[in-house]
Amino acid sequence: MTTEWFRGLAAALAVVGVSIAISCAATTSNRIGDSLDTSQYPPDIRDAYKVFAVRCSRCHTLARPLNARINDPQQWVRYVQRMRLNPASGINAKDGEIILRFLLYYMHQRQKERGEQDTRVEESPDALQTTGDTPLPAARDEEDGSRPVSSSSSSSSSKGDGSEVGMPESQPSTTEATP
Amino acid sequence: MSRRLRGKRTTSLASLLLAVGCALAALLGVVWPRDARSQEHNFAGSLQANYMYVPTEKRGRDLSLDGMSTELSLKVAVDFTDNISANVKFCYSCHGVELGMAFVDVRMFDELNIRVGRFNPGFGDFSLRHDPANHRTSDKPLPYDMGRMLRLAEFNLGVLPSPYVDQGIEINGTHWFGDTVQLDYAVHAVGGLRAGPNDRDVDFTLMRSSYYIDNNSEPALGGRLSLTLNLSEDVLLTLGGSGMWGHLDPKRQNEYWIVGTDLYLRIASFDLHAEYLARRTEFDVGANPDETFRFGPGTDGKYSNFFIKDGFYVEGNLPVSARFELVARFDGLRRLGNVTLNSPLRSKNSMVLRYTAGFNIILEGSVRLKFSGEFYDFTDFKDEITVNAGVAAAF
Repeated sequence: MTTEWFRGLAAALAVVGVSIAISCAATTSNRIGDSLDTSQYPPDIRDAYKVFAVRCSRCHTLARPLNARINDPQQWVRYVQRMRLNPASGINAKDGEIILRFLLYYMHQRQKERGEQDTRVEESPDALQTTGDTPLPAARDEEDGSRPVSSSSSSSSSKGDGSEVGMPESQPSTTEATP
Repeated sequence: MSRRLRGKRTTSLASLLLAVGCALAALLGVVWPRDARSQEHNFAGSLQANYMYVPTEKRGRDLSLDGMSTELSLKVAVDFTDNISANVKFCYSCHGVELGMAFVDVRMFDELNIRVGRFNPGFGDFSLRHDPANHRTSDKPLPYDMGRMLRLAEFNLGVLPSPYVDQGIEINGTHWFGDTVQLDYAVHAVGGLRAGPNDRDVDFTLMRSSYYIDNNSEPALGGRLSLTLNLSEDVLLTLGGSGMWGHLDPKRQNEYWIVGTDLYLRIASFDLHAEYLARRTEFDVGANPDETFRFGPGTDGKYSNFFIKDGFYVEGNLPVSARFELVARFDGLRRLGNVTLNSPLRSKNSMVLRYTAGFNIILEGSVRLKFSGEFYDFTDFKDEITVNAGVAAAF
């Protein structure tokens, strides 16, 4: 019996040790576990992320929206509206717009990340060095993120190409960004 | 071939067909050219694989569904317009493949939404996060337990096993008073809980695996009202109350009602959930109650034709870092009322209290490793311990 308990204890300690090691592991992405490192984001997007983090984790983990493969701004408009209407969501109309602003900015960032990854794979090693080191155009990001967005039906019920919801004109279309 | 064997084969065939249909639908969603889809589709799902070990028993299976269990859900949502959508969800768990939801959602305006089909009627706080990828513990709180608690057969599960899925109609809505106060309501008419003519409790197997239809041609009615206060940017408080009423049996002679109250408090990233549920369930005492029940009649010489089952839980979740979070829960379940002579419960007031402590490791993406230990304090049985280790993912 004593031996069994010692074995159990050793197994439990091993599990805890591995877990702690995993929890301390570094990550190559700005998505860490269930949250997002927004230190490189514009200040207003950082503030929007805080609202998103507090409100959206009430019913589900943040990983759900952060890992959602949504490339159409219109879909985010509908999703945020739907979530806002969930009982006890705590998301008022103002928060809904703030959350949507963050999600659209985040979606745009992910599309750019994927586009860069694709470029890296396709290009030669020489070109890879050049494109890989090129920083993201921060000024344009700030402009993109700070544009007002609207979740009202009047602004969200048409083409669904992102132009009505504050997406940048120079942004590649969703089909181009999606591998 | 016996009727029972035929029934089993039919159920197996139905499950197989459901599984094949689900797989085909998922495959179709993946391979169908994007341009050919006329509406917006969104696929989502979750998976939890959990191992439960009962170190205080040689054979944990005698008390519960120990060992490895897998819960899977696959959901597709289709937006026809900005206001009309359809949701279909298949679940796989201990009792095979089930239809978790299949409903059309019509959102007229904030204060008026209509859901028609098979869905989770609004009841309590836990139903909002019943998916294993959304709640932080490996199992559900005792009032909502659907088969992972110890002594599940003796207690016949929780007060309202979650997810409670039924078909019917629900009207719900939300209204904001300024930016601070949110009032939600929901009323529903659904098939309701079911039992056979001579059952002395709800038969939860009739809620699944058989036909997804009502057994007594009378809808059960229910509703929910909740008030949410955005006290500050980081502090949110929700108070809610829910109720449900209906008849269990085909002849509509035995009624049940369930009431519940809940509290949710959010302070920064710390979550506190608390709920209390109570169910009053009537049953037929039969022609010879003296030979049926363990305890005699009341002071009026009559046998009670009902029992009360109630339960509560208080749960706190605290993220310590981006990858590590702590979970603590205290919950309980009680059955008040007479028991039959062959019941394993030995008193008119049988209770279990459970103490849960655990931690979760959040890996890349939405993968969560869940570890917890539970101490069960039974009034009618010896105390037990369980250890849970699992992985949950949302995709």
